[in-house]
Amino acid sequence: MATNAVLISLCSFAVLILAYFTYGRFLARRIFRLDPNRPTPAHTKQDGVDYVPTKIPVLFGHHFASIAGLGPILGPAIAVIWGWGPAVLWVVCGCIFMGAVHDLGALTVSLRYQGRSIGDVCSDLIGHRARFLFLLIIFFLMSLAMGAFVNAISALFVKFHPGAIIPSFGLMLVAMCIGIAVYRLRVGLGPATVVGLIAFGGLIYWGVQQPLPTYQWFASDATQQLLTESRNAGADVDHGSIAAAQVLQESGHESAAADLTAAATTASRTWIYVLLGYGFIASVLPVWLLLQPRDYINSFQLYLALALLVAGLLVAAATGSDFNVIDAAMIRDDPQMGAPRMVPFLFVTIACGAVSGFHSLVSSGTTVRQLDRETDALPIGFGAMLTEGALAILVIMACVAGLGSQAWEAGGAYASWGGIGKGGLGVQLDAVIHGGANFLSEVGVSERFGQAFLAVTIVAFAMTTLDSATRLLRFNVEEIFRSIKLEPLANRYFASLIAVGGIALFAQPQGAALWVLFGTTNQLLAGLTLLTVSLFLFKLRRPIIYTLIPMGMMLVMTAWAMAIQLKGFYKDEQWLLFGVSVVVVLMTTWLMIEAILSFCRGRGGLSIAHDDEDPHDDESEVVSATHLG
Amino acid sequence: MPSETKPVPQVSIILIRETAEQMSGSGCCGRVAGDPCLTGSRDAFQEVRRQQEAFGILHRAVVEFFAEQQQRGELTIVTVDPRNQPYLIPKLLKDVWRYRPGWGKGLCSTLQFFSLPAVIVNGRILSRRGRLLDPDALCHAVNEILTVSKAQSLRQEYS
Repeated sequence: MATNAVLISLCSFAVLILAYFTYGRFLARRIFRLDPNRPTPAHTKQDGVDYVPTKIPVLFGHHFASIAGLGPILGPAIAVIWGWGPAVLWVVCGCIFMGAVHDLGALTVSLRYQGRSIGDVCSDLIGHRARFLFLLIIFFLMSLAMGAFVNAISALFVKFHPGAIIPSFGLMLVAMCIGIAVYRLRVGLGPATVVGLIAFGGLIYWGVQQPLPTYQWFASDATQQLLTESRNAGADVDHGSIAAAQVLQESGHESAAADLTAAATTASRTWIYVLLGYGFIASVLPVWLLLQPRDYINSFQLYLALALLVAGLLVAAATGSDFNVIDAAMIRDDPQMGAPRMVPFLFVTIACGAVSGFHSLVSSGTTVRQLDRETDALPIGFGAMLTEGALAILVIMACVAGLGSQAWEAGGAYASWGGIGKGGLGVQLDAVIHGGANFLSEVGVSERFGQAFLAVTIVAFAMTTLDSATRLLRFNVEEIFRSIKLEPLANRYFASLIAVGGIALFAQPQGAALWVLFGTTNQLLAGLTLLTVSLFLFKLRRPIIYTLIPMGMMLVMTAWAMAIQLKGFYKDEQWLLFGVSVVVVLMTTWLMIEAILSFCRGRGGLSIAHDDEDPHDDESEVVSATHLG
Repeated sequence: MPSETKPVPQVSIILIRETAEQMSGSGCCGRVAGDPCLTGSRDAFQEVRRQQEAFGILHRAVVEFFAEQQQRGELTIVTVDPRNQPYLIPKLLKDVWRYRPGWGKGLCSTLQFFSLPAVIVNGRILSRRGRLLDPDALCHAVNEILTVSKAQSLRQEYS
């Protein structure tokens, strides 16, 4: 019997909603003991700048837009290689028992520490070494994530969606025009947005009509000639090098197909350099010119894509469309597939979407300072994470149902790990784009337009992140030069160059291995946050199993995956990845030692920072618990 | 048991401005600027930060001068990031519908004919072309609305 994608999605959503009202409430009332009457930092430190009491719908929007991005798209798109069942199960269970607990815990601990960031709290509760560890993890996370993004964008542009090049770069111009109009000429936000969005639609149309097959520029004259002839004969050679090579191969021009594949590799590498150059330029530009306005447009893209995907899925169900049928197997554990073992790799492949350490930075740094009431932490921390889980479910469905059965057959995108794992991260993004566009076609968006829209949305997200991450890395480098008294080198251009160089190290085509490494490091950060939350609860003599078990699982999975990866990297002589993995293993070991030491110190030692109004004694907490409705 | 209905606030203030910490790229991987240990002493978004601080003055002025009214639910103040359109669009529509600032002004507000940062009071744009509003001007405008509203309710009571 065919499995219904909508049914699976709705069941998953129902479980997530049920978890919110049961497990979420239980944690909020009994474990974190959130009290609506205890003043939050937004009230006690209210300044209208950082500390602003904010209503749930407003804060939810801010928080969700901050945590949802490319992460919950890439991870699930890779993980469906093991079948849709494990991916859905991990997203749902991971979200409820780990991700949401992690986000709610980080928010609560930061609340009790008057809105201080989790890095600071971590230093207070565990020790100064933990703070250093925290910074080290962040450095690797940023470099790895940016390397993965650059890698994925270049693959998308060359191998799958040359039609996304014009809209992606055109969007930069549109964003710059909006930036100048809104921030300098003081044009109204509404008209600027409408014009910007119309221009964005026009750019997508242009891109669809005129794809830029850059791989062709690096091919020999004979291959170019063949491509032109094929194009004139009506063959589809403008939609990615893979499709073009296939056309050449089918027409018996095998050497030309090989030449084209080599040209595509050169083109991908060139795109990597172009994107790194972009990262350098964008990171030294004023933020109002490009980053701010593009981030503004990104928010529309995110909401529009989400709405269209849900609508498409529902229409597919209502009309009995083929895209409502899951084509993938529930569990795929075929050794011939060549994929690494599902356990532990599934747990580090889907990081964002199930549990993500990065969320602790958003929760503790910004959101916590705007919580109107303590109990709002439940819908914001727990609820937003569950919503991100729902987004991950949609991505899974786009891959397993929206792509059609050919993706799972021999030669398809998900036929083997060789196709998905080593072909660069663009393969997974392409799967999401194709599957998602099929859903969009159910609501009347043409397939080509839908693909271009999703591709440009994903690229825009990745590029905005690349821009800001390069900027942040630049600041780090400047700080380092200043701290070692090399002031002349602490200028923005030299520091940006070094930051870009760091990203370039990881931007070489490493396939899914790079993403797995990123996921592992992200889970390590989640482990560190969960350790901080556990220690906080331990000192208050409250049950810690709800945070300690997820922490243990994160650490075990991270260590296990790393051990297997290390062996593979050593065997394949991938020294860069091997080196980073060694560092991650060392950090995991260090974290485990810190965890043991922290608990060995007992409830004394480093005290919980609280003021007189917030004594956290048992009696006051019992009273507090009764206030929760 | 008599049901308690929530009083309709006489003044609804919307402060529309961006948040510097949430500007650093889309998705959780990018938004790491919230942690000061990463950005060090450097603020990547100084201009946004300056606006944020200026709006903090407006916010504090309203909260301090109209503390009682706020406590009684006669006044609400909300700070929204312009990227939070799913909240902002309905909120603007609701305020324009509720306070009826007139067709022209209502249309300007709902179609967002304001430049950033903006101050909207009872569905009417108070800020001019992105210039930062003077806290006195805002408090004066709010006070005027409250006085008129009070006079109206007294008149209704006597009649």
